Amino acid sequence: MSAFQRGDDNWYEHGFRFVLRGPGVAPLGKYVLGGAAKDDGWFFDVAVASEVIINIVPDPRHMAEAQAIMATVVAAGPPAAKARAVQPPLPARQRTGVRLATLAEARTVPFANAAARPLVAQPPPAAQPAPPPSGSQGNGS
Amino acid sequence: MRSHIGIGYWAAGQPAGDPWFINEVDAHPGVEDAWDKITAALAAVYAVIQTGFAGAPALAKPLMDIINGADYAVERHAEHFWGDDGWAGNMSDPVDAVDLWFRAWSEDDWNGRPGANVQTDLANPNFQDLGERFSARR
Repeated sequence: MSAFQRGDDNWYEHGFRFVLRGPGVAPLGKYVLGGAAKDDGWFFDVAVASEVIINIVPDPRHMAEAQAIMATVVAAGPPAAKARAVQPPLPARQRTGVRLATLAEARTVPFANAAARPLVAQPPPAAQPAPPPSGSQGNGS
Repeated sequence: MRSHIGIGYWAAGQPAGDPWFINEVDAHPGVEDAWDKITAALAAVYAVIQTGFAGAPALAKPLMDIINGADYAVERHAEHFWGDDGWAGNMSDPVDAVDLWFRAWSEDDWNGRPGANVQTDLANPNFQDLGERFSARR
């Protein structure tokens, strides 16, 4: 520890590093960094406490890419019978031109190619499995 | 008394982007938070990494011990997310590491010893302590 003054101010600093990629990567989870200081004023002592909750989470960009891959896979047209067999009825709010593919479907598409491919709307609803009765799921909002 | 938490990124062994600052405080007599609010905030922040609220006061104690007895005190807290593959929300490219620095500075001497620490309930946490510097009492 060394003396640390800048100008007329007394300073304190303490740092921490979280590695996000490569060796020594920080495991997923929550950390809390907290710091506090109190000065010795002529009339009043003033103090500060400061904290930040640090969340190391699965990369959300991969989630977005996975969503794009899934939508692309479905748009590319997996066999209707197979899709019907593996897909549960979609909630009312998801009955749009594009649905999410299953993880198994997503794995069939090369990652780089899928990311570069534009999203294409799925075929018309006529080609889709019959939707559940109106109002049976979701609120339609 | 002023304070902030500075955040800086590293990529390919070099600083990436500009550092930025959160929890900035400019505390003076008359600019303060109520003690019960500070206590509750510290307990709440620490409670997020604990299974229950009961243990939170004990975890907050190191910070409370430092600020206790002050005539005026201010508390700030924040929450941030980073991806495990280098994602940082305000950076266009992935980064390798993120540094966080708690800093405080005052024209007056320190009363007691400032401090900072990282706590987690992870079984095998992994972060680097970059060390601390503070001015000697004049």
